[in-house]
Amino acid sequence: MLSLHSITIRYHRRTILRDITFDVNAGEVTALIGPNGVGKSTLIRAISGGVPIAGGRVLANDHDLLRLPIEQRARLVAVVPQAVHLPEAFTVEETVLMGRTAYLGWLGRETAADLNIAHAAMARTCVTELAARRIGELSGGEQQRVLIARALAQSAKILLLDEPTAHLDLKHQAGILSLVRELAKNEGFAILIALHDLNLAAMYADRVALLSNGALVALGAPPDVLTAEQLSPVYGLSISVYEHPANGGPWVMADSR
Amino acid sequence: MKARQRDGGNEGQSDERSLSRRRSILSYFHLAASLSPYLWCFGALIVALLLSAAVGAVSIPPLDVARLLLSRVLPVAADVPDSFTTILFDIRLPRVVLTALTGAALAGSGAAYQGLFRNPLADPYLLGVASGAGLGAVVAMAIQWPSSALSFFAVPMAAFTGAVLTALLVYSLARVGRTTPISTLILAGVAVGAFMTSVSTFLMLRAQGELRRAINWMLGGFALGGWSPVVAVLPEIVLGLGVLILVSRPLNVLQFGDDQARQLGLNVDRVKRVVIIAASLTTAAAVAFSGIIGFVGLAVPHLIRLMWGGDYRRLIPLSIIGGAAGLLLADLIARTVLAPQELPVGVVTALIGAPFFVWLLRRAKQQAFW
Repeated sequence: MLSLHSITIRYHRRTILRDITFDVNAGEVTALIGPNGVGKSTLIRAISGGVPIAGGRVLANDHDLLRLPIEQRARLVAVVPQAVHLPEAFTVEETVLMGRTAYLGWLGRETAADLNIAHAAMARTCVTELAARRIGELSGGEQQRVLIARALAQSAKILLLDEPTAHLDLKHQAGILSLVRELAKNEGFAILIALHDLNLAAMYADRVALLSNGALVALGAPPDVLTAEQLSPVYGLSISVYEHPANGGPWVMADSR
Repeated sequence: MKARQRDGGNEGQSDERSLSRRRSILSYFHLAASLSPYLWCFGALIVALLLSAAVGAVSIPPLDVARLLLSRVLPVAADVPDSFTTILFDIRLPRVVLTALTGAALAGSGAAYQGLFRNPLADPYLLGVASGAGLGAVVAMAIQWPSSALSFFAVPMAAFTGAVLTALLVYSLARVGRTTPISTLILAGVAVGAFMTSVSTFLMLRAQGELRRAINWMLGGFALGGWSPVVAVLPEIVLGLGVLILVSRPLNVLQFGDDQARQLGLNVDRVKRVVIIAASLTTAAAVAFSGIIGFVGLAVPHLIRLMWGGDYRRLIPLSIIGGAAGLLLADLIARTVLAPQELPVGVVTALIGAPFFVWLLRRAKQQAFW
């Protein structure tokens, strides 16, 4: 559904990412992992047009995404950013309605249909009760749910999430990632999610893409990618992978302390 | 802890009482705020209009002003002296309307600049845009135009050009990477503004005669009389403010940052261009005929933000109405405190606005709300 074809990104003449090629399939969660600063967020921003790419193509439903007008891009691909620096002025409902921006005329009048779509999105992420609250006063987990609802209101079937669990506690991490997984499994979304927590990637992703030094070094199911042999050189320290006692998947630990 | 509570029992009670009093004051405040904000702003505007039209060398009772105005639109006879009619319609109203338009323009464009730069302290004056418009106007005034009609057209156009160029210059100077921090924005605005003002001053002092008038204008005095300045600014201000009202929803989306706005499907660059041009057009029109008047574009949108929140769909129209009322009241003060002598209205707005700005800065520092 979303395919990246040899994406190369340069910044100030330095190559950040080179020749990244992989697909994100409908009904699957693909996790983007790798050390800090490897370019996970940059790749997500590039796919959504926020960073220029030096080479390659992004295909979304067979459209050359970056050649499309900005409104049409937003109808194909929705991005859930990290919940930081949210403006204080808006309520949850107003924020989610902003997901309809790509569908409004230039006068920006929201119709009853837009409102219905926004309400359905809010119900989907369990933020309906928060509708009248200001986003600035919500907790991190609640804000993240609002941002996911806003992305759902875009009615795009491809979702990109940038570290949605970065500042959340365990319970909220699980809540957000279960929701993401349900969206893929039950509603057929194609989901690409940047995660720095390898164990969360192991638990919730169908496939894992491992970035290292600006290149894609491994791609596949979590047990195939999350191995001590592949992870140790990428992270530059000795890593062991055990069998997770509860679900039998890979369980990643750093050896040193 | 317990001992302190017992000792402070009486204090605690009076604290409670003052707290409940404060709460009831707050609830009145909320009641006032929940009443239609438009009614409040329009109410303030009507009061300011009537007062401004009433007060002057010859004072006309506000009721007579209302009666005279109504007699023009409704078939009722106004039973007032003929001299009142002349004073009101030929002298006072043109000035009142020009002042109201100027206030509306400055506050409306101030609110828009705040949204554009995602910064509640932006204002046409602090951004240097007003000074840029002023320089443009002075350059146009320095040229000997063959006809006064042409100069009426040339001065606002030159002011507009100056305003747009200054806005772009300040914005590019203030940018740090992908953000425009408040500190660099204000510094760039003040530096560029000071430069523009000094060039204007130089031009004015070098030229003789005609430009002397401009010095008074520069300080923000409504020196020109009659209806012609009103006719000259009306189309630009109505056009500029109309566009700003139309882009208020995109401005809301922009508050989430350029990246998110793009991801939501907003053509960020186009919206920014439209806002810069419309806000600069509005500012320039105001500056071209009323001089450089500071802090209206900052204080009025801010008060409205405090009362009714930062949704630009509401903030921009309310700032327009509130700005008209605010500048009328400032002008009223300027005309009356030293009567019969008149202060430039820019002096009054700065005297009230600058301390307000300082207060905002301190408040902002505590809350870190950008």
